[in-house]
Amino acid sequence: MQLVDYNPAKLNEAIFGMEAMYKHRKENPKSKSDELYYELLLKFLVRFTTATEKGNYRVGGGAFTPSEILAAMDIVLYPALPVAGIVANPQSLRQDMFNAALEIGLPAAVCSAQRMWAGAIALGYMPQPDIIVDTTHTCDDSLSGRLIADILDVPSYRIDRPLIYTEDAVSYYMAELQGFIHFLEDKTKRKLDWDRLEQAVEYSRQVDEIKKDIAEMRKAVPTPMRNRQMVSMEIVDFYWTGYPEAVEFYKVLRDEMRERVDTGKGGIPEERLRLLCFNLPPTHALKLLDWWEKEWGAVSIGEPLFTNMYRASELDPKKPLESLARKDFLGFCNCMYAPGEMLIEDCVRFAKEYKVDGGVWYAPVACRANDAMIGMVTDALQKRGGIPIVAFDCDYMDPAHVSEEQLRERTSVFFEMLKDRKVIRG
Amino acid sequence: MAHEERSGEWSRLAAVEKARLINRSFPYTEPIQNWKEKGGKVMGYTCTYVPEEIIHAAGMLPVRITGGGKQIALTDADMQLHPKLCSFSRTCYQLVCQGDYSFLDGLIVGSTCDAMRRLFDAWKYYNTMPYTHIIDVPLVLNQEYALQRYTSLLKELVRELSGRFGVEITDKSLSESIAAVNRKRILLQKLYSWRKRRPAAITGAETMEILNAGFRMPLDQYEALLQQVLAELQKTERSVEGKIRLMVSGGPIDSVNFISDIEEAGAVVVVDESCMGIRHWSGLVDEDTDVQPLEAIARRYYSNLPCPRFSPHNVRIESVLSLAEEYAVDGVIQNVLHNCSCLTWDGALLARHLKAKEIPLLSLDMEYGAGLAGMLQTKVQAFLEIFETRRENAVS
Repeated sequence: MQLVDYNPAKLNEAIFGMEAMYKHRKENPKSKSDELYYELLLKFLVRFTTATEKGNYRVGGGAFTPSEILAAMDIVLYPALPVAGIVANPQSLRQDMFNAALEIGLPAAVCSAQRMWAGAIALGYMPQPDIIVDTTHTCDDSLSGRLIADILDVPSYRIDRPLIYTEDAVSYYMAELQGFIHFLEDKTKRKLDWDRLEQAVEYSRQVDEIKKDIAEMRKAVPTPMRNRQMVSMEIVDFYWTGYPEAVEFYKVLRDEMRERVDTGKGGIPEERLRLLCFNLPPTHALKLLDWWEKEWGAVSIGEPLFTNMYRASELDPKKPLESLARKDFLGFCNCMYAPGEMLIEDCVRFAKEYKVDGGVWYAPVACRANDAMIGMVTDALQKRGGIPIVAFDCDYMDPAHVSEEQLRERTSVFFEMLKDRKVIRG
Repeated sequence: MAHEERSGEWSRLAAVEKARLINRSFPYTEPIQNWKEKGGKVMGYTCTYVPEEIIHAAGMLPVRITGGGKQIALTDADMQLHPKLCSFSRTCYQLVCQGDYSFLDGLIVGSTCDAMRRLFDAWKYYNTMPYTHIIDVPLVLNQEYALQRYTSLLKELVRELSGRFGVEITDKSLSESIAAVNRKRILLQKLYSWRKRRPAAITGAETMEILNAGFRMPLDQYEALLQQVLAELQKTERSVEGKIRLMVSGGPIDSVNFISDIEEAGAVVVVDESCMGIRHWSGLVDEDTDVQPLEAIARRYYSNLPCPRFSPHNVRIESVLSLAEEYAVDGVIQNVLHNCSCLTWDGALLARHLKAKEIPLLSLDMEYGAGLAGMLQTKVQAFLEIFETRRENAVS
């Protein structure tokens, strides 16, 4: 299959839809953070789609590109997976993307997230990135970057983040980041602005401080955060790390939550179940999070594999590379690429400090490294906290694997058990 | 049917038969038993990036952990790990759970893939090993800072082993171990030169038997075995005539049946670009006395034929293409371990470059330890027919 030339129609359609949603939110405000979220999504999409005409580069691919470095070089991040999710409208287009990915040479038995964005590019729904970057964090499926780059004939770079956090590992990783900077400077003919990098790291430092506050507040009963907001946090992290927009969003979210905590209000009207949500539900079934709330009064009070809730890093803008290195070890999704005992200990601590009733693990079939921890985490939480965990096989991007309806049925059985358990325990 | 069951006397090389008998009692082979009975300690390791010289210098017998190249029921592994983790890692795990590796005094893992790091996590969590250690292998090539990091990780391993087992690992003992392992590598180099010949003098299956035995016996005994097979090859002037020359490329391939199934279809596997094949032994450690032994070890392992997880990827691609040329292969069969992301992505990338060089390729998605049966057998036969057709066309 020949690659189809990029046609901005799909992205323009997404922007149009986003504009409508933003307008609706402004006219029917639920919360300021909600409104701001859509505003920032829209702003990013416009920036992304107009990058080339403004003489800018789009760099990225994987989820853990050190965005502050891109910000300091005025390079637009290319968050391949979220953007692919946006253009896959209707959802049936996802299957077209998977098929297109196969036709351009991606293997079948790998992470559907990689296949989806590669397929979206192959079909011309997304522009090609100028440079593809991937990192060893979080898993081996990030090896997709080099293959996709080879197919698209664009330069690629892989950053090696060590598994275990030590001072020697930080020094090594700093050298890796330096190498990445040299690579970018060579390919883009731009120089990194170190003052700007300091500023970007300062923004990330501020976000980290706010995340600490948010993490602490989520301990409250009832918890002040809604389920969808964990998705919002993740998306804003992807799109706006290193920019003041991220700080603004997190401040607004924190202030909303603080107000709720101060007035004893929860994020939802009636909180009945407090859960650890190990992976987000599949991207095609995020409405499950709303259903959790409405049907069961179930809220996620922590996402051990995702949100940086309990290991905020100490960022010092005057030491930008060291700060970025530590942030990657300690920040967003750090537990996905760390010794398993770290995840286990965090979950046990979580269960106690956050008064957890149970845990739900939506287990994408290709997330092998994470799935391999299900047994150990379940065992530890049961033995050391008496906390039951349930895991559901699914696929992060492919609705054909299991439907939202099937996940609802299965989750219901578990929630029913948890509810009864809570009644018995009084 | 296993290869040895199909033909009474499988190999006419006595050394290969000897190796086969050793491998039969996998994993607790007779040489390992003898070693243990004399009070020796045995350290298992899972990865090409765990230097056997260090284990050897600690006075322990390094034993490579594999699944024996066979498929087994994976009940415990599926429960305690996950059915979607590769079958190699689960087979190794299962064997440990069952007690098959109970003779080990410890286990060292290289963090070279997701499966390996989770294997380590599970072994540690369920306390199935008296001692475990993981080497956080740096996965970037051609960088001095990465080599320095790897060296410091090896120094940490030396300290760990010394402290834990009360052994002194000195520069002298490391130098002696380097010399011993290098001798093995040189002998294997010579063995592989017989595979390079046209026609090859030893089959891939026979070589695999020899390689496997080497992971399960003391070094001095293995040296003797290698010398025996080389002497036999010299004496018998064997040749494997009229066969299509293939490279097998992949990960933890140690199944003799897999290789012999390919060869029975009409090929000879002349080189095995895999974890237990040429990637395991190629490249010597520098024995120059001006070089610190541990640094020399680090440099050899770091600079070796890279595994799929390393970057930049062009280094690996060039090394594979170079091997294909060196061994004058007609084609390549990829054994892509099912559910292995590294091999799956690497395989697809390698395929593009092999295709660009017009090297015929067959990619097989396979469970660990599986032989060729049914559709897989048909695919191999069809693949080999391509070469037959080409030969016929060339003649006519």
